[in-house]
Amino acid sequence: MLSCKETTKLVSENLDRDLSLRERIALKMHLSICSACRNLKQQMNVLRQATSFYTQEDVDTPKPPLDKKPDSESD
Amino acid sequence: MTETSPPSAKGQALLHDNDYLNEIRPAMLKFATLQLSDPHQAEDAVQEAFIGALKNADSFDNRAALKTWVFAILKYKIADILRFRQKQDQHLIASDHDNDSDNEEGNFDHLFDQRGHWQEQSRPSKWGNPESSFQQGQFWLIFDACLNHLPEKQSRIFAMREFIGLSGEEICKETELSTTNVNVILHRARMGLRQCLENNWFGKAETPC
Ligand SMILES: [Zn+2]
Repeated sequence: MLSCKETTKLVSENLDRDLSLRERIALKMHLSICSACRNLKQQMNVLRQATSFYTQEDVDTPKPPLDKKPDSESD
Repeated sequence: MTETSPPSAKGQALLHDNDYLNEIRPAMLKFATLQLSDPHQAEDAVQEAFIGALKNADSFDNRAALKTWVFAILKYKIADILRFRQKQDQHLIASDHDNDSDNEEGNFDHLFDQRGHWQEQSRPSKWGNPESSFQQGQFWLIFDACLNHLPEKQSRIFAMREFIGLSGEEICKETELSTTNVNVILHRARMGLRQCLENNWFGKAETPC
């Protein structure tokens, strides 16, 4: 049986490579009984969604409100 | 810049495929900004990378090749800028140079008990309605901060994988790390990011300060 710690590793690697059959089965078994790791898996999927959003044209990180600068006083 | 031999028609066409250039530009820019922590320098580096690609337009004949090519130039520019900076503040970095943060910062043992199960207080929660978070500017500020908070190597490899979309294998070639190493670094990066977002956004952010 996988530990949660090992599970986090497989959940991550599942995003980067094809897991072996044995790994997939072990992962599935663990996830079926562990809600914390199911949440972790969801979180890692959200991370991927977020990064793909982040690198699209329409998402531009807004300036923090404090960033207001007095314009053109010098020079 | 002087025009040398005319680029191939196909390459030229690709460079005038504005949709595609606009599509890959933000990712390149985000990558450069993350590496350089300077939006203006990042902007310049990306600009130069596109210009560099234009000069060699006959070296690629499809979109994937163009992207790889732009990215290759961009990385070179970034490395150049960083090397220059490093020279400038050699004395500043001398002291913590050999302190490879990889071991310490990538260690998530404290989240687990001896048998490798989540500690009660570190069990991941369910992140409700991420799509609505994506619509909020504040979320992206925190996301940005969390990315920048990762150890340098982790954010770099993570960005190669998730911003540029390189495969594990391609990252291996780029960085001369082993596949196992790349996997470990990506795992750590994701663990660090999720923890940071959990603490600062999705979790119960009841008490600021
Ligand atoms: Zn678990």
